[in-house]
Amino acid sequence: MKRQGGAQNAAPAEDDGDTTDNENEGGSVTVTCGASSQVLEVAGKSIAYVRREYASVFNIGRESKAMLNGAEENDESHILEDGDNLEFVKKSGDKA
Amino acid sequence: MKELNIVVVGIGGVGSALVPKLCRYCQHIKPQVPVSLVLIDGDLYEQNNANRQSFHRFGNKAEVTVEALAPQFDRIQLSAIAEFLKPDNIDFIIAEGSIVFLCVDNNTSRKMVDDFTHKFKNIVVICGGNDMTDGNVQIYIRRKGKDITASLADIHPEIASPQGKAPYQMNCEELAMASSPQLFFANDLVSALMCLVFYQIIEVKDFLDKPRFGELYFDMLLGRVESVVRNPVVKVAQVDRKKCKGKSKPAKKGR
Repeated sequence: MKRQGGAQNAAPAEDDGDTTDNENEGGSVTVTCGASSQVLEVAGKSIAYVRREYASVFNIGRESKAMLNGAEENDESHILEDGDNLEFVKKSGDKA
Repeated sequence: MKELNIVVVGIGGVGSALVPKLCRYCQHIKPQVPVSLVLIDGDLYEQNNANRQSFHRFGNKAEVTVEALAPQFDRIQLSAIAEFLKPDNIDFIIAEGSIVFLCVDNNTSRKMVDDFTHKFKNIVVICGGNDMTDGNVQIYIRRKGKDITASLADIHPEIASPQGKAPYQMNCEELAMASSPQLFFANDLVSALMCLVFYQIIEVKDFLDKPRFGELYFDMLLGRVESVVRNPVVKVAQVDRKKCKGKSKPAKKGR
């Protein structure tokens, strides 16, 4: 069962799901944006957390679509699980 | 494979680097099959193109390129269309079974081709583009009336909702201002990755039915090329996850 971030714990209204509950999942997620790809220990974190924390590392655009395991994922509060593949879709090259 | 019908849209930095490579490969392809290679571009070679493109005279890019290559590659039926691709002529240029190399610098043209090719039972679109030192090549494959990979617009919202005009919509002044600085090496990398895809289509069994990737990204500064799977998009209503809470989760899709 997938958890909404912050659903169980008292959390501020602005919480974007980057807190984990006491059953810390842990685990690795492959995060990709364009040609950049790394395995990060962010299972248990939300997509929004990864987008925010790694925006500069991966050069993630604000409008970049999130794809989870090959399918578009619109819910930024979705909690990542061990073994997930999270891609922030990089824009197509403008020139030719 | 009975024949190859190839269309190259755009003979700019990427297209002009791509076409000689395609010609050299197709000239010696085995077993021998008829190869038709149509180049389409309404733009002209000018002096300021010389830093990225090779040409022996000024003139329409498609015509000048065919003129240069046809004597070297006599097994290929090379032809030029000295127009920009537009809704009026796309019907005559892209046909069932074509392999379309999309080497254009605007998303309006990309969307036009993407929308048009949805109607075919069998078609391949290989779309490439770059920024200064990075870029991508995306593959859209349709086989027997079904998407094998996601279409260009399914993945890239900037193609689904393009800003700006296609060249055929621009006046001379707009066309003159449309070009921007580029790095030849980035153009050449895009063309090489497009050739990588073409090689897979021709030589790797079942690539068109079971492609191992749907998009390639490169970054010259990082020294990396990354492949990504692009499963066809199933257009159904999104499941409300809150309503599904407590129920078994769907199977996770692997890469």
